[in-house]
Amino acid sequence: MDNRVKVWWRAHGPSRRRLIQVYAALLYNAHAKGFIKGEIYTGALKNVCVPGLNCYSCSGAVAACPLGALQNALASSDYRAPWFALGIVMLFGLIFGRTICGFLCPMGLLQELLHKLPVPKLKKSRVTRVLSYFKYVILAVFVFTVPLAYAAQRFPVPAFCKYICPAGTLEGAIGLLANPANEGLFSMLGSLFTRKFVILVGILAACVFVYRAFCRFLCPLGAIYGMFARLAIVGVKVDAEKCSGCGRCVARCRMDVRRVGDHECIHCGACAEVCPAKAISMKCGKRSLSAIGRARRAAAWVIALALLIGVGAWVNRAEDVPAAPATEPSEGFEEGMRCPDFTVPLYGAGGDFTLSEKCGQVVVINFWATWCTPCVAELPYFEALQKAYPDDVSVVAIHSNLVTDDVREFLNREAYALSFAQDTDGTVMTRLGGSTQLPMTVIVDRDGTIVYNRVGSMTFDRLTALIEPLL
Amino acid sequence: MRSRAKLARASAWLLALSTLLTAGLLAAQCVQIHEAGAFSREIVRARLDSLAWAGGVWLALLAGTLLLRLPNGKESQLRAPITTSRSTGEDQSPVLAENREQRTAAQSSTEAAVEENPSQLLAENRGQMSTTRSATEVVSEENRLHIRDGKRGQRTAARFSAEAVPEEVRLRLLLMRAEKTDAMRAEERRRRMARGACAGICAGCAAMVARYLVNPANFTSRELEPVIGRMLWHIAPWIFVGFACAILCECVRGRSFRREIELAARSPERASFKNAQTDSGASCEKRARLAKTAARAAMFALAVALLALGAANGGMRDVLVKAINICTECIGLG
Repeated sequence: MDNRVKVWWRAHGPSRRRLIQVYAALLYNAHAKGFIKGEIYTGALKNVCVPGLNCYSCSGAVAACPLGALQNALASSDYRAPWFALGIVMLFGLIFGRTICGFLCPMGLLQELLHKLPVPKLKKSRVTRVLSYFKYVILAVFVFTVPLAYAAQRFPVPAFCKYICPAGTLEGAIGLLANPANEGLFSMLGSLFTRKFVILVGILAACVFVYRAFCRFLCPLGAIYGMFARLAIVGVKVDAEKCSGCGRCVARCRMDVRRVGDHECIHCGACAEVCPAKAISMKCGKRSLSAIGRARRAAAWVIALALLIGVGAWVNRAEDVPAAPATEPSEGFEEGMRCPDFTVPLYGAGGDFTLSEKCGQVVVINFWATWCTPCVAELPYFEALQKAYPDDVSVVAIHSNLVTDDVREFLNREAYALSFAQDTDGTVMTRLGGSTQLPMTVIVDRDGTIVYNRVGSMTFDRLTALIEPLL
Repeated sequence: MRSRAKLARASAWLLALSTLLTAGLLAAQCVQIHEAGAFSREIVRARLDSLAWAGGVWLALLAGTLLLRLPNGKESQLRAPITTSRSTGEDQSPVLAENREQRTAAQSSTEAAVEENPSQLLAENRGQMSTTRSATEVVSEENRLHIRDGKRGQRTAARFSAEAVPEEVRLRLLLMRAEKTDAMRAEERRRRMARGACAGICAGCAAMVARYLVNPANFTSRELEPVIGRMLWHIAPWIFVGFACAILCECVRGRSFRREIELAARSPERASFKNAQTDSGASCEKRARLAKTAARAAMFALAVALLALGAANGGMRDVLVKAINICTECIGLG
C-alpha cells in the first residue's frame, strides 16, 4: 500500500521546481494581513525588489517589483540617476539569469498551472521563435522609451505597468477590489481598467493553449534577464565533452530555445530528463547542484522554511500605530462628519496652512505625489479652480509622506499658482481616512463638514460641479 | 478504448472552446459595465452571477475530460513502470526536475528509431556506448492528446521522433558524415540571402520605429491616451512588417533546411569523419571561459557599485516610496 502511494506520489506529486515556485510566491506575498485588511505592506522590506514579476500593489507583496522600480527610476532619471534599480536588476540577472523565470516568478507559476488544463496545445515552431522577440519591442518601447521621454517633463509614466502588466491588474487591482474594505475603488474603474482587464483575460486564456505565453512573447523582465544568459551563475549547463549533439534537449524544450541555456531558456531542467548522454545538469558556477546530498538539501529546505516563517511573522506583526490626536465625537473623515483640524507646513513662501483658519471658505484638500501620474496630471485643474474662485475657495495640495527632494524642484519648475504643503509623517492623510492610495481629494464646506472624500482623479468640471452648490 | 480516446479528444476540444467562450464573456461583461457607466460591487457580482452557467459548463467539461483521460484497468497494465532518478538511488537528473507526470519507458526499447537518429553517428565515432537503445523516453501529460501511437487509446510511452529535433541539428549531424554537394551549397547560399534580406528589412523597420520614438515632440502632451494611441498607430505597422518578414524568412529557411537534409541523405559519404574537437578548439574554449569569467566579475562589480551609488543618491528610498504608495493608474484604477 505504502509503495503504491509512493509510486502515485512520484507520478503525480509536485516536482521540486514546482515546490520552489510555490515557495517563492508565498515568500513574495507573505503579508497575509494585507489580504484581510485590503491594504498593502508599507514596511522597510519594500526598499528591495523581489527577482520575479510580483506587483508591489498586491496586498500581500512584501517587496517591490523590479520592473516597476526600474520604470519609476527611469521616469525620475531627470533628477536622480536610476543606479539602484539598474543595479538590482543587473545583480539578479548575473546570479540567476532566467532561472528566475523558471523557479522564482509567481506569474510563471500561474502560467504553468493554467497550461495544465487538458486542452489541445499550440506547439512551438519557427514562428513562435520569431514572435518571442516581441518582448524586446515591449521592453524598448514601454519600459525604456516612454518613461524616459516623459522624464524630462518630470511626468512619471511607468508605461508597461500602466497599460499592459497583467500582474498589476490581477494582483493589484483585482486583489484590492476583492476586499470589501476597498469599496471606494470601484468608483475609479474606467476605460483603463477595462482595457487592462481585457488584456489580462487574453493573456490568461493564451496561457491555457500556449506554454508560458506571457513569458515567451510579452514579459520585458524575461527579456532583461535573458540578456544575462551567457553570464548567469546559476542555471542549466551542457557538458560539451558528453554532448553528442542529438538535439533531443531542444526538441523537448517547450520554450523557443535554439540551444540549452540561450536567452529563451528558463532553466527548468526538462531537457536534462531526455538527454541520453546525461550531459545537462543544473549548476551554480562550476558546481553541480545535482551533487548536493540529501542532508544538505533537507537543510536548505529547513532554512528556506525558517526564512518564510520569519518574513511572515515580521511583516504581519502588530505595529505600534501612533495614537491619533483626540477628536471630538462628531469629527471624522467620512462624508457628513466634521473635518478634524490640522496644520501643515507650506512650501515656497513658508508658513503653515491651518484648516481652522479657513472657516467660512470652502476648502479643497488634494493629496498628491510627484511620482503619481494622475496626481500630477490633475494639478492644473486645482490651479484653475483656485483662480476661478480666489475668495470663496481655498485649495491646498498636500504632498504625501516621505518627502523626496524632487518636490521643491518640481514646484519651482512648474510654478503652479497654488498652495503646496507637506504631510511629512503622514498623520494628516491618515486622519482624513487615506492610506496609500493616490490621488485623494477632500472637500470641506464653509462649516467645516466633509462633503466629499474619495480616492481618484478629478477634472475641472467635476470640481466645479462639487464646489458650486457649497458657495 | 478507441471510443474512449475519441471521447477524450472531443471533450478536450470542447473544453478549449468553452475556455475561449468563458474568457470572451468575461471580457465582454467588463466592457459592457464600462459602457453602462458605473462599476460597483453589486453590478460586478450580478454580472458574474449571470456568467455562472458558463462557469458550470466549463467545470463540467473539465471534470469530464479529466475522467476520460484517467486510465482504465487494461491501460494501466500496459503502462510502463515508473522509474525516476530517485529510485535508482542516485540523482542523475538535475536537482530540479520537471513534470512528475512524465512516465519513463522500460529499458531496451526495441522500437527506438536508431536508424533515423543521427546521434548514433556521433556516439559511435566518439567511442561512446550508444544510448539510444536504452534511452529513457518521456511523454508529458499535455502532449498526450496529439501523440498518435501505433495503437490508439493505449497509453504507451511515445517514441521520440527524430522529426522533433530541429532541422539545423539534424543537418549538422548529417553533414558530419555526408559530403557537401553543389546543390547543398546552393541551399546554404539561399538561406544566407534570405537572412540577409530579412535583416535589412528588419533594420529598416527598426529605424522607422526609432525615428518616431526618439523624437521628443511626440511626447509633449500629458494626455497620455492620445499620445500612446498615436505612437502605436505610427510604429505598429513597421513592427508588423518586421515580424512578418522575419516569419517569412524563417519559413523559407525551414524549407531550405528540409531540402538540404534530403540532399544530404542522398549525398555520398565523407572520406573521414569530421570531429569537432581539435587542439586549437580546446584552447579557444579555454580563452572563452576566461573571458566569460572576467566579464562576469566585471559586471558583478558594476552591479554592486550601482547598488551602492543608488543607495547613496536616494534611489533606494525612491523604490520604497513608490512601493508603499499605490499609484492607482499603475494598477488600472483610473
